[in-house]
Parts: sequence; structure tokens; C-alpha cells
Amino acid sequence: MTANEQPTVESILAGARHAGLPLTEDEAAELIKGVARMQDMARTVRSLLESTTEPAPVFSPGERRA
Amino acid sequence: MVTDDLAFLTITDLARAIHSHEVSPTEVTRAMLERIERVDPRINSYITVTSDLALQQAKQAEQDLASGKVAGPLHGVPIALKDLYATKGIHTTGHSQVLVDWIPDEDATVTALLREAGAVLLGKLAMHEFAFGVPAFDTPFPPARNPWGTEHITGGSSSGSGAALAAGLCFGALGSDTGGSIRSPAALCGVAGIKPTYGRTSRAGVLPLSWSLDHVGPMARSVADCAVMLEAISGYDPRDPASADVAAPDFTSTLNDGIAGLRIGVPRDWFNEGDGTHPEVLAAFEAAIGVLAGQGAQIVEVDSSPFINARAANTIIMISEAYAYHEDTLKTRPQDLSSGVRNRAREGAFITAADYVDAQRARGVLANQVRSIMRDVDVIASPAAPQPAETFEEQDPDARYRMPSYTPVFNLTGLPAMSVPCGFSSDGFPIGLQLAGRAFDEATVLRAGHSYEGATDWHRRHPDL
Repeated sequence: MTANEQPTVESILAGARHAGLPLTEDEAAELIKGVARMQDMARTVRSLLESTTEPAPVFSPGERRA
Repeated sequence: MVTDDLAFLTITDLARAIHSHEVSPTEVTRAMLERIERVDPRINSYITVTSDLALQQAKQAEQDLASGKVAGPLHGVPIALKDLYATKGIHTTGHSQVLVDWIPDEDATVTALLREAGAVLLGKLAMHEFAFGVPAFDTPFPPARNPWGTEHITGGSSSGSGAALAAGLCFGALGSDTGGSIRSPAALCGVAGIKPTYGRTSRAGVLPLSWSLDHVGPMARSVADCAVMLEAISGYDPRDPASADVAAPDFTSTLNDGIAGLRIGVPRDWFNEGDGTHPEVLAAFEAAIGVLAGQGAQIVEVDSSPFINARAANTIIMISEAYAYHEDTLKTRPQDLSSGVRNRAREGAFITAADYVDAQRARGVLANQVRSIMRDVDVIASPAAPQPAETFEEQDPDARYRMPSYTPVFNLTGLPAMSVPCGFSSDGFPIGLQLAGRAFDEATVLRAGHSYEGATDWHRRHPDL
């Protein structure tokens, strides 16, 4: 499923199969709103990053987060 | 001392009473156990009450104190732990069927630190399942109820911690905070709670929700009590890979230094995000700002954009990491999770790797923006929650997403933030003031909160139970 694709019962069932998650049709229907919300959040994040040059997070051995 | 008066003492006052022999640890522990038995069936704040252990620890504290071995201000003080802190030999459930039979064979680091400080463990507290759910009725234990009105929620996920403190069923508690789980129940139950800087307190032996956002912190009935507890649990721990090797200062020694000249940033545009903030919360917040200004603080308007933009990145990171933690359960025994946690965790399967990495990149951007704002101010102030406690029936997650979310930005940036009681709604439910500071500068946050408390009496009000 792409970020711009409106989630449906079918696309959620397909995604669940891909992830190896057991899911019924009713359970997939319950996820539509939440999955759409996650897509919306991902779009918000991408839009925030469009105006920056922030690199991917990098792990530095020995460094501790302050 | 009358039991009900005793139950609402602060840790500081109780310690004074214990050390001056007005009351013994055993007497206070017995009184608290009796009160839990009498009051908690209406509040559901405890999952497990450790009566025998508490009386044994109280007796030991009494003997230690009598022989001059004083471990500190928590010595002999009854406290309780959110049920995600591992306790050796005591059930630790995460409020979930998944762990309903789990009895850890060692303590979480902070459990051990509180024991070494002489605290008496009254028991393990209710929470939102795995710190991730909502107040739910399909978990093995009932949800905690708000002592100010038992049809109302407590806020979460440290629901039992907030409820037990507000109901006078412990003197201090530990919560945990991944997106506001200490500050929200503190605000909605009318108590104080601080999420320290990421790395300040160890998460070793604490059930995770989201490794890069989880924080351990205290809740209590005063800011000074939070400072006492934070001091006891702070410090480097090699068992937690995110633990910071930074010395913990004496958080109580600067509490009374006042706030003259302290620069407090207020991101007011944030308060109108989406459907905005409840008008009574805004009125209480503005009154609180007036009190702080009256004490000599300089109030400065600051840019709201990083605070508004933080929720999306925080949510994506939290749901992704929670999915990683719960993936096996979702595949093999999903029926053992409540429907709320099951659905929320399943959403993580639909977040792409790119979404997660982008959220971490956004985290860097937002952290820099907030750091830049905090070069010009010492503290950021906002409401802690956009509305007072709803009833269980009124809960509407969609409506909540349309309101400002005041807490997650400080999980994303790792900065210390606390909630302090700052008023009541017209129907009698508490309102919280959030104060946040620079990394590893909890002392300034606590000083500002303590100064505010000194001029108000919100934290001294208790529900009629």
C-alpha cells in the first residue's frame, strides 16, 4: 500500500498477509481509520522534511544520546 | 494523627513525622493498607497489594531508623509502582493477559534503587495495557477510575499512579512516559509528575512501549516530592543502553531559589491547533502564567511550529517500535491483547521502513528547532492536557487527534517536562500546567514548579472519598 492509497479491507488484508499477521475481514475493517491516520502522519513528516537537509539518523559507536 | 489526614501528607511531611517519631513506618503502612482496602474498590488503582512485604519493609525501616541508619527522605515511606516495573518475586503484568502470570526473578534498576532508599512497596498499580492502550474493559483488571469522579478517566497510561496519589493510597509512585503517560494522568488527577531527560533514569527491567521514546519518572502530590523521588532513581546504569553517564544533581537543594528573571517561553499559537484547547484549561493556564510573572519570571512568546509538528513523528516512531515489540504476540496469541492495543499495534505493520526513518530524521529537525528556541528561554510553559478528564463514555480518540497534543514533543526531543496542578474545571476536575526545560536541567523545571506551587493551593485539594 502506498502512502497516497486509501486503505480498504482488501488492501489491509493483503498487507497483513505480507506481514504474516492473522486478520479477519472484520478486524481489517476496524483498522481502516487507524491505518489512514498513520498515512496522514507519514505525509506530515514528509512535508516537514521537504524544507530541510537533515540526513538519515546515524549511529555513532560509543556515543550516548544527551 | 487521623488516618485520612495522614494519607494525604506529602513525602516531605511524612518523612519529618517519621523522623520525629510522631508516626512509625509500621503505623503509616498499616494505615495505608487499611485505606487501600476501604477506598480502592471504587478506584481500582492497585492490581497487586503487597501487604506482607510492605509490613516487613516497614518493620525493617523502623529498626534501621531506631539504630540511626537513615537512608534518606524515602526511608519508611510507602510508595507504589506502575505494573510495568519488574519486581523480584512479585507479579508484573503490564495490565495484560499476556503477562498475567509473570513473576520476575530480578528487580528493575529503579525498583532496586527505591528499595535501597528505604521506601516501602505497597503494591503494583493499574495502567493502560502495556502503556499503549486506552482505559479498557477487556483486560484482566479493571481500568483505574478518577478519584475526582469515578465515571471519569484518569488519563494514562500511568492511570493507577495518578489515581492512587489523588486518592491518598500511596505517597509517591513511579509512572512511565512515552508520549505523555506521566504528565497526562498527573494533570487529570491533580498531582505532580516529571518525565526527566532521556537517559537520566534507567529503563532496565521496565516493560518497553517504544525504546527510543520511553522515560521513567516519579509522580507525587508535590513538586518537592517528585524531586526527592527523582533523586533516588537517577543515575547511570550500564543495563540500559540509553542511560546517560551524567551525574545527578541534588534536585531539592535549589527548589527554593525562586524564579526572578527566569525566562519562560509560551508557544500560544499551539493552543489553537485544530479544534483548540478547552476554554477552562486556557483560563487556568493564563492565570498560572500570571502567577509565574508575579514571581518575577519573564514571559516570552515563542514559535509554535516545532511543538505542533512533533506529534506525527512521535506517533510513527512509537507505533513502529511498539509493533516490533508486540509482533510475536500479534502473530501467535492476539486474543490475549485488549482490542485497543491489538488494533493500535497492528497499525505498525502498515508503516513503511521509509516512514520510520523519515520520522527519525524529522525528530532531528524538530529537536534542533526546539533547542534553538531554548537558547532564548529557560522553560517552556503550556497546558499539560487540552481538556479535563472525560467520562469513560465520552472518550473520543478522533476528537483527541483534532486537539493540541502537549506532551509528545518532549519525548521526541528527550527534554525534561512536568505537570503541576494549576486549577479545576467548573465541574470539579483538575487541570495541569506543563513546564519543560533544557536537557539534564530538571532542576530548573522543578524550581519553577515548586515556586508556582508555593503561591497556589491546587495541589493541597483532595477528592472527597
